[in-house]
Formats: sequence, structure tokens, C-alpha cells
Amino acid sequence: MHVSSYNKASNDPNFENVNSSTTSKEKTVDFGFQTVLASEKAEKVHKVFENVASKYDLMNDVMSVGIHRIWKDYFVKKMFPLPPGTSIIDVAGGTGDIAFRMLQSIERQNKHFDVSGTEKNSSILISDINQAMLDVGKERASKMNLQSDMLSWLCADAQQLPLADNSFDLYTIAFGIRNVTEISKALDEAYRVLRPGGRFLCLEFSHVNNPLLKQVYDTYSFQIIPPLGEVFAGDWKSYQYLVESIRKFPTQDRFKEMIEEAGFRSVKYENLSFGVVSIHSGYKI
Amino acid sequence: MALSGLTGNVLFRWTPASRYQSTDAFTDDVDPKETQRLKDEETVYETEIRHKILDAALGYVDISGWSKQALAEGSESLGYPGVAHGLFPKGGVELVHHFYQQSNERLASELPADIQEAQLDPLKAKDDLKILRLAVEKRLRMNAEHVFTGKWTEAMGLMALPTNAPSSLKLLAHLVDDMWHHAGDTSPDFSWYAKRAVLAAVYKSTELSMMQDKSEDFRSTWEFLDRRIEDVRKGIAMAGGSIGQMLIPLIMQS
Repeated sequence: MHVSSYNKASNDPNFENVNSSTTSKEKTVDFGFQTVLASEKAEKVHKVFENVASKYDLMNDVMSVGIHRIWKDYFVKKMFPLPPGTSIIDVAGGTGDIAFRMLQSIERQNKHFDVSGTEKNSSILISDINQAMLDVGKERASKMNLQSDMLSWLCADAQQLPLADNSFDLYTIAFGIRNVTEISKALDEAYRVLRPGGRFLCLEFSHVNNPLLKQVYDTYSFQIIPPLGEVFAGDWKSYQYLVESIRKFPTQDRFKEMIEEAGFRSVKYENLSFGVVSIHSGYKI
Repeated sequence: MALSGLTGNVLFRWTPASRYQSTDAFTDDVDPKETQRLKDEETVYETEIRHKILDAALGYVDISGWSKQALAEGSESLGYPGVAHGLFPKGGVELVHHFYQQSNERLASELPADIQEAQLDPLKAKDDLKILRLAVEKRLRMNAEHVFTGKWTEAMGLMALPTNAPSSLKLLAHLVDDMWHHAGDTSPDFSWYAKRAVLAAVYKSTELSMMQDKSEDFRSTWEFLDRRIEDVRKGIAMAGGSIGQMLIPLIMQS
């Protein structure tokens, strides 16, 4: 049943995240392969992540066979060296996966370059719409004994950040933008909060273009990931949503265009693992 | 039927301008020329900013080397955040190539005046080899500040890396081509290649010699250059007057 509904979507490469339906008054958006009212999506996504928060890290390891660590390490490596005093916002970074990596890399870098004490330190603001995810992150931060004066936490919607214009040097979002109700709104916000010259970096699941690998990847996604979710986290539906939402996310080139539409320049992307994920980068210049 | 309607609708929505699409049935006419012009403007704008950052970063090479660090410091000096170094994904070598390109352009614009001046002096620049010697020295002197600080070895190392070598060779090819152009070369035959190959060899070997030259004002480098030019002159004489022929015994030997 899942496969058949998937095939319908995959045969038509022109699906987009937001459908501006003219028949009903309210906008509808995709929630996995379902179409829901725009106002409902946030709540539904919220529920998914509330359900998975506690098992989030375990499930990432199980589903990607640990490869997600390599992706994230590579993603963080791309932004280095970070000059002292860089202000970073990590959106949808609840569990701190990206932020903690950045923090550790900054510490390593500062040791290596012997940054003098006069320079002000970098800061990382972790923002997430879901308090449950932030709680997991805070707990992890205290367990890991991190230098927490560089970290701050914020529960906010990526489409309406309660932050001043031009206040960050670097905006990162890893495996988050897919779940935002309207991607373009989140991109506009990213552009707004970044300083001129600031960098937008996004790590997100994307599309495998090699037909052979695509088949393997699809089989794995639809036949294996939801059962794994059921076994390890006792939750089939959330993981069903996860794989479906990946298919509904715009292609690499389309997403690049969307970033450019938000005003970013020098937009480039790089595929990792044959396009299972891709890193998009743009500048507010 | 419902499905085909859906597909049509979706296809329509797929256009890049979809976000600003109005609800009425008439779509705006998009003039391809206008679109191209806007694209070109964008490219020019981006290139300008990149050049500004690269120019600023050159000031930090003495301390930070040809590195992302220097690029970050350069962006910060312009008021951009340091993370803008990501605009140059290849890192330091982009800075080296920028400097190389800039120096090439400077040479091309300044060389004609120098040649004219030299030609007034009856002892200098009687033939194309003398003009080439003048050009090579002039171009190498542009690297002098980085040779003094010891950073030019780093630059040469970066340029020689396999991933960077193709664009580095291209810059060298353009350089020797410019030099021959100013020396008045109009050859349409095989000697075109030979001339450039010989000059590239002379240039590159003199550049290497400059690396370890501790004499005042690089005196021994210019002496080295004189000897290489003499070698070329002798080679031409032996081969019967043309560089193209000069290469034949070299090829036979190897």
C-alpha cells in the first residue's frame, strides 16, 4: 500500500511542497504523501517529533547505519575555520547534534590557533520549534560537559524567528527545513536574520538520481525504515512520515532556486552519498 | 482525467517564478533577453564582491599565508563576517590564482610603455629576446614581496597540486602568450607552440631560482635569467634561425 502511493508521487517529479490550491480558501501543504491544511501541518509535525524525541539519536544511528554522523561532521567541517566572535544560529537543531559538533570544533580550532583571550568568543543559538527536542539537547549538553556559556536555547518557529534583523553571521539548518510548513517563509527569515555577507548552510535529505541506486534506496526507505521505527521506537507512523516527507522535498536544483528567490547569492549545492543528502550554501551579499 | 488536470497544474507551478505567481489566468510575458541581462548583472555583482574580498585578503597573506584564514580576515576587513571565506571553496589557491591573474593583467597593461622606453635606448631591446627578458624580469619582480616573506614557495606548492595544476598552467600559458605578443610574435605555424613552451620553461626555472636567491635585489636571479636567454639564443642559432627547428633535436634526444 505504501509502495503504490509512493510510486504515484515518484513518477511525477514536479511535486512541490506547497500547493496553492484555488478551489479551497485555505492553503494546503504536503504532510508526507497526505495533503493537509497549512494550519494543521505544524501540529502534525510537532506530534511526530514529540514522539521521536527521546529515541531520536538512536533511530538516526539505526536508520542510517551511522552514516548520519559522517554527513554532520562533513557539514560542520565545511564552515571552518570560524573566526572568533562568529555568531551562529542553528535552526531546528533541538538535540544539538550540529551545535555540539560546532562547539567542539571551535574549541579544537582555538587550541590550535591559540586565540588570545582578548577576542570575544563565538556564540551558538540553538532554535527549535519543539520543546521536547530542546529538552533532549539540554540534557545531552549537561551530560557532555560542554562549555555552555557559548550556547543558548530558543523555542521558536523557523518561519517567524523572534530575532532582530542582521544579527547572525551563520545560519545552519540540518534535517529541519523539510518539516517547515512553508519552506520559502523559513528561507526569507534566514535571509532577514543574517548580516550582509552572512552564510546560509542547509543539510537536508535530497534526491538520488542514479536509477539503480534509487531503487535500492527507495526499497530501503519504504520497506525497512518504518519497521525499524516500530521495533526500536514503537512508532511506525512517524517514520513513515519521515521517508514520505523526504520524497516530497524539492530536488537539489529546485531548492537551489528557492534559496536564490529568497535573495541569497552564490548558491551552490553538493551531494553526499549519491544525493541521499545534499548541502546547500548561499550568501547574503 | 482528474490526474491529468493535476499534472498540468503541477507542471505549471514548477516554474521558478511560482512564488510570485498571481492568481489570474494571464501570466506575465518573460523576455528571454531581459532574463539573460538580469542574470549577467547578478554575475557581475557577485564577481565584484569576490574580487573585493580577494583584494582585501591579499593584505593578510604575509601573516596568515595563502589560506582560508587570510580570506576570512580579508572579508572581516570589509565588514563582512569571516564565514564569507566559504565563497572560495577551494580555499587559499583561489587567492594565489587571483594574485597571479592580477599581476598578469598589470604586466599586460604596463609592458607596452616599458618596451617603448627600452627601445629608445640603443643598447637595449634590439630583438624580441631582449624584450622577453625585460618582460620576465618585470613579471617576476611582482612576486618579490611574497618571495621576501617566504610565502611564494607556499603559493607555488598550492598551484602545483594536481587539482589546481590545470588552472595554474592556464595562467602561465596566458602569461607567456602575452609576453610573446608584446615581443611582436605573429607566427602562424608550429613555432607558435615552441616559442611559448621555451618561454614558459625560462620563466618557470627563473622563478624557481628566485626562491633561494639571497643576493641584493635578486641579482643572481637576473644573471640566471640572462644565461637562460643566452641558451635560447644559442639554440636558435644552432638550429638555423628558428625556435621551431630548435626543438627538433631536443625531441630527438629524449
